[in-house]
Amino acid sequence: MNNLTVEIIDISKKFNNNFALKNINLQIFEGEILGLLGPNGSGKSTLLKLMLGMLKPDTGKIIVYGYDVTKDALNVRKITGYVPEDPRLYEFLTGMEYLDFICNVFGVNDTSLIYDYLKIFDIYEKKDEMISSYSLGMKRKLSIIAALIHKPKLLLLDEPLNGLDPKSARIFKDILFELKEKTTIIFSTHILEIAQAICNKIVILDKGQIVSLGSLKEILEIAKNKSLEEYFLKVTGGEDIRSLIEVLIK
Amino acid sequence: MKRLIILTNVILKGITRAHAKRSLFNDPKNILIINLIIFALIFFPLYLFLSIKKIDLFLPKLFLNEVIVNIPFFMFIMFIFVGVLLIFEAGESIFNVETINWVPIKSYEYVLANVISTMYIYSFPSFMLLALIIPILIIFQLYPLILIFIFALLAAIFMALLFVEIIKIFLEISFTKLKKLKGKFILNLRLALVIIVSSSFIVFTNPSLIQKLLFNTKSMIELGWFLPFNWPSNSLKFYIEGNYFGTYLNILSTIFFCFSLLYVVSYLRSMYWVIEKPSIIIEKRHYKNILNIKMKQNTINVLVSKDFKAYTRKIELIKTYAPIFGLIILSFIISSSYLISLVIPTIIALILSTVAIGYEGKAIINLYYLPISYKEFYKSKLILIFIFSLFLSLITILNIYFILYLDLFKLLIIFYLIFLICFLASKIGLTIGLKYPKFEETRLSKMLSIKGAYLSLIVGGIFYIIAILMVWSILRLQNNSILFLILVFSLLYYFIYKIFEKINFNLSKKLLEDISKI
Repeated sequence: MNNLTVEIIDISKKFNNNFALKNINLQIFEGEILGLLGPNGSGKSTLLKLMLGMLKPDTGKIIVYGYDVTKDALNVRKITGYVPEDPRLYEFLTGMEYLDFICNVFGVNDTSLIYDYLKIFDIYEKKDEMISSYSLGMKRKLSIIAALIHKPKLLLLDEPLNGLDPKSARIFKDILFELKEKTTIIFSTHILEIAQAICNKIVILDKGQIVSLGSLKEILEIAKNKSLEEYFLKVTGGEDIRSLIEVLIK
Repeated sequence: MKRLIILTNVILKGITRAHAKRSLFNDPKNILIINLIIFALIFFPLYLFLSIKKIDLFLPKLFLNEVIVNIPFFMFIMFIFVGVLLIFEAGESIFNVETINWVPIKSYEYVLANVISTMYIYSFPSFMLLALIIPILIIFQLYPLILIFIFALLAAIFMALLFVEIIKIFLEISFTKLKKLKGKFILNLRLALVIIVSSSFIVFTNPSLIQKLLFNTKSMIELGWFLPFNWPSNSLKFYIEGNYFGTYLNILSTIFFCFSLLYVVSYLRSMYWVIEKPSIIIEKRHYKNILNIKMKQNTINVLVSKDFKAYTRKIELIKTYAPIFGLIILSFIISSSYLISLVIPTIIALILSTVAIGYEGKAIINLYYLPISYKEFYKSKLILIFIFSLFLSLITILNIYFILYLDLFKLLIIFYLIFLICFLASKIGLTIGLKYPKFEETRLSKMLSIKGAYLSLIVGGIFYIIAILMVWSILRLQNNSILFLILVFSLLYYFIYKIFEKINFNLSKKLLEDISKI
């Protein structure tokens, strides 16, 4: 069995007295691409932020590569690449300057990789333009490069394919497949096809709780002849959607 | 007409709501109501006062010739500044043509709506002037002059704002056309433009300079009679001199020129109705070693470098500190006392340091997921304010030298003290910035909460008084006593510095440990 890389132990987090996450327990092993699925507001982004120490849990703890995130977030960040849901970059820097900034912060000496990534993601021509003139998709690409450039052990990706063109999305998926041997990847999305295509382990969150957990094969077995979409709707309370639509149309 | 009214209303709401959320000025109607109330509060008491008190006949002549005639010209200059400042302020707001060019609106409607809305938003000085001048003209029964004055005032402002529209179009064209040149030129040009316009605004709205200008512009108007922006003033001048033909000629010329200018501006705008979004290109030079490997930089240096780039590139931040150059220029050209100079290392230092945290805006989230410790973050800010303090202290001491012509010993002592005061004020400014930041990244008030802004004003005031007392003491004390004073102050400084060092470390830690707090 592969090494345990991330261990989430009984994590709970409240915002304004409402549970964003409740008693989450999860183990993630090296080489796994974990898909965090769930409807909007189910707690996917909160869980990723907790793993990086951006938020403090109310109860429980998270161990990442042996570091307790609450006590040693800085060391966790040194080995983690993160793509936020809404990339907020320093807009007064150029794309190149931002990546240079990231390399310096992570202590990356060989910056030749920056040029390769910029070319792969088709933003090489724009590298010297200020980020303020970038489109959302370009900002997302820059954010992805920033997460990959320091060769992290853990990759936390919050809806990373939002706003990406099909070519870049495909490239990114291929990169993830290449990386999975030496990197633990946790991937939040609400697009089930993507999870099905990329992830080898799936967690379905609903209202801050894990409602389903297992490998894709295990989940499909539990689903019994249902597709992942139908199973997802069943466990997240969206099964009665057809009857709702019928009522609306009437 | 209907479209023009709707567009003007939208622009007005866009401006008022962007500037003052949940305030009295949120609704454009309130601006008019407040202006009318202030007009009434000035107009009626002044009229009563003038009706009761007899005025020397000399006064109206001086008043008419030297003041009223020059006001339209002065307002023209003032609105050029206001308009240019608004261009820099506009950013992605409703002022931008891209936000409107896809709806069925004609270019002249867009131009007129922009001009009218700016006239309306900044109508306060016009109402004030009318409230001060109309009662005097009524007392002297110069009724036609009231109408000519109102016309001249409005025409001058209208003309100024049309010129601003031309500047705006040319800036858009040049920023787009010049983008092929390397971006550092564009960035420096933008930086210089904002600083020049903002500081000129500060310099030319200084009361003592206005007074000098008002009494000197008459000859400028006479000499430049052929220049259209002098025609509103000329119409007043000719009426006062009894030359009615000259008056009508200037009024008609003004109207004709305004319409012609509107036509030209609308034509230019229609040519650049869809503008190419400017993008600034800054090529990075890499200094690589023999192995073609880039050397790693210290995280603190990287953060400081990022901060300096923000201070020279981020337009909201440039607008925050650009007027400071105006104050510095003023302190050199009109100041005869060190009291004004000491504003620089105290209040200005505090303003610069309080926004050093909030300027990060929403991008502060980067600091939450990158391996940057709160100590590195805080130290980078400390280096930033140290450099600011050094710069401001050098300017202040230069200013004081030109005012007092002190000997080297006293000059060095004052420099040492000013630097300590400036650095401490900046450090406390940083405390306020850390405690009350706002990450909305639009204007000064959005980089710091209201509470923080008030607190910084109080602290700035205290430091200002301390600085005055220190300089005053040094100018009067003997050398031995000065050294004793320096020793006591240095010890006190060290003690306070250490306390705030601890507070700031804790506040930085608190700020960066949980994203839900921002």
